[in-house]
Amino acid sequence: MAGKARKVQRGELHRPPGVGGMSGVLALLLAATAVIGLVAVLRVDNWGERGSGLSERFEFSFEELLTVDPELVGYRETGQVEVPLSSVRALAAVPGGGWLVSGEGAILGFDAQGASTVRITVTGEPTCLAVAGEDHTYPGRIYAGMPSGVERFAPGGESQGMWTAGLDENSRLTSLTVFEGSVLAADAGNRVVLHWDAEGQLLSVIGRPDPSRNIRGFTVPSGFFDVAMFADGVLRVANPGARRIEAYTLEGDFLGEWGEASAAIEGFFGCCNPSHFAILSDGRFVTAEKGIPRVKIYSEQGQLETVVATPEQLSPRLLASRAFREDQTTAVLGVAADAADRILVLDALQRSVRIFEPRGGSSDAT
Amino acid sequence: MVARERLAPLRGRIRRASALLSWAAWGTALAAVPARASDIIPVPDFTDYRVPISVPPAVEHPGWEWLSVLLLALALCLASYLALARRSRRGVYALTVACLLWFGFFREGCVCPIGAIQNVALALGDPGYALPASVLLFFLLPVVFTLFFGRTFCAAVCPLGAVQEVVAVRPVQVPRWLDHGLGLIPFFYLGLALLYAATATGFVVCRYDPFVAIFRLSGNFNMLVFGAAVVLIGVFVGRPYCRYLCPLGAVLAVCSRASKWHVRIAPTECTRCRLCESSCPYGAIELPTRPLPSRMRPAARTRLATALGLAPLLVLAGVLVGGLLALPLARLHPEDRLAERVLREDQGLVEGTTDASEAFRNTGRPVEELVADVLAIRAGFRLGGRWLGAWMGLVVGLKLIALTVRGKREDYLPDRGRCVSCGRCYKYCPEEQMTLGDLREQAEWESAETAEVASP
Repeated sequence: MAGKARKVQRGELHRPPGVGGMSGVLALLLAATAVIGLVAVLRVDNWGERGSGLSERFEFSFEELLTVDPELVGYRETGQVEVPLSSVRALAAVPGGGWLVSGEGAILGFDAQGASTVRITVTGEPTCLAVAGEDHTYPGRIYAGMPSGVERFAPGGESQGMWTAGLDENSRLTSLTVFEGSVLAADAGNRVVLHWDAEGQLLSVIGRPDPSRNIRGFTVPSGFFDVAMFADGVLRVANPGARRIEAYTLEGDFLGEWGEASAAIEGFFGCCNPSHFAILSDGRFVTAEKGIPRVKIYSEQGQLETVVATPEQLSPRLLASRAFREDQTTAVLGVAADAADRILVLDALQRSVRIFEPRGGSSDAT
Repeated sequence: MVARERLAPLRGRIRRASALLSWAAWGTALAAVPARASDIIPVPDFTDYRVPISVPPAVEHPGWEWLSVLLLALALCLASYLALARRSRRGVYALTVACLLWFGFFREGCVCPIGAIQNVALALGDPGYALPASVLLFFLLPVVFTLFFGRTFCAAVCPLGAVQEVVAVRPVQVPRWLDHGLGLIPFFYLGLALLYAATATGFVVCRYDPFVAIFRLSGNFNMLVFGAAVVLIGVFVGRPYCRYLCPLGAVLAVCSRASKWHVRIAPTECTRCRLCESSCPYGAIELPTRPLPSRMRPAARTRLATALGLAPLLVLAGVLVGGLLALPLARLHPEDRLAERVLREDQGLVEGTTDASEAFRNTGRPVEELVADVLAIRAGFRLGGRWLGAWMGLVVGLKLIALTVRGKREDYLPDRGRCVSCGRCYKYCPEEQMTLGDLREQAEWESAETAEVASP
């Protein structure tokens, strides 16, 4: 009872503390905090105009990649033949000597000395070329990959018709190669290699992913996808997204691969390289890369042997100005090896075919 | 010579066969090599650092979003019940913490009803934008509940409000003049956010959300500083974001004034004991008013007339100023900035390129086309800027009118627009304590004592 009496004293009425007023010091501190918060918001870099804020270690610098050890360069430029076209697109060596170049509205032929031999007028721009050798069913025939199909031309330039077997609306032919009775084309749109006979009948489609045959398929992030046949009857295909060159039988069986993704000179750099390649008469490979343009020679087993052309030679502005914008145009649009194993480089920036020969060769002596 | 020619194809076949065999051996050896990640995702090779293969997060199952909608509806029901029917401050607080954990930290503050305003505005401004039904519900549910029960969403469901509710441990009163002045900002911010959303410029409310970096435990450093500043201020100034920034708070404040039911300070009858007078850290308690002395009435009428006359002028001024501010407002639109940058680059006024201008040039799109688009965007901003100016003028005008109108109140009542139904004031009310039994024994003792004194 006494406890109850004590509990109900008026002074013990439960009264929570109220919210007090703001002191001057507190008001000042709060105002300062508000200003800091406001400044922080106003300084938010919504458009990334103040950079990433990362240290130089993360800088996107090409400097080291653009320079090549001079000791590695085993070739020198011995000639340059201008191509009188508004744009150039594809290059192919003529087995007997000389080469063909395609561009807007025409295919131009040149002999080994660079003199013009033939001009074939076409509609559109051929994206790839191949010339049949003596082993082919129709020696000397010219095959041109057009946006709508494969067009055939007689050695003199007369059109012999077009075929479209195996092509669809996604097809984008980027490379052609010829071997005995076969014509093969790289279709970058469908990421396969199409195999026809000399009359244009589709024989097989090579490179469709098939785990049971250990075929992973081709990774083609951009419109660069090259193929080449060698005298050994083995098809070589650049798998640019994988930064490799792969070997297949004409029946489509996977045989092997070489190549490594790397910024070092030994490897293939960027998203999708090599963009082009050719095979020398002794089976070695000539590769061309885009982005940081460089042309190199690899052994049959894929070991780097020498450098043919450096970024400085192929795109001097890239080295001089670092203005990536101006030089994003692909500098190299094709490589080929002519009958004398000279290396031909189709320079898209200069619209010319540049000829490279080994240092210390016969031309050096002269 | 003939024999050599006959033998040539045979030699070729032999050479091919041997080449095939060697390739076959190589291929067999490589057959066991698994596919490399670099086959699929090319990795730049600038340094020795091995760049990890980034894996995009799996697409969230839509069920999670609908679960959040369901939980939002349940939480609103529970918050309304706890605040209005049970009058349980503890219950409201527990629900606040639960919603903070779910909608804030687990769902990382998205979708939130505050940002959903912008989705709705974009859907109204751009017929091509498909407004997700769940996002629409995130906007509508709090509005509908507020029309019936007041701002119970703010009380216990909003994760942004929850953070501030939890940290408000040493609240102080903000001077009334400052409180009223800063209280206009949410309405301005609302207008700005709607303009930017409707013109597809961006969702500024989300971009400048001070708490999302806290919910996600990562974010832009500046936004972390901003979030920390708001939290620090929130320790002393109750709910600074809700009161002085939140655009949804502005919408709900208007809805709450028209709500069918609303929390009351006293559960039954207000005895005007003044105990609750300083209880609200949000300055949301309206005091009883006394009739104005007759000598002061003419001046009050003049003030009201002035405010009423000023309101349309403020709207008109807003229209004019808004039209003039169209170009600065459009500067936040990415296309506007891009066009200006590209033109300056073309004229040689700046060196180099930005990522945006670089990307634009790679598309091959003509600059003239970009400029034409930007002119159309600016025309939209001229119209939108006038609407925004009119809105701001209207808000200021209505505020002036509200300040001059003297309401008639006999009890201590919550300001329906500003009260977030948090229930902090309940315990200050003796009627509440009586109802809960805290003062029942005292009342019984007092009546017994009175009876003893009265008896001889």
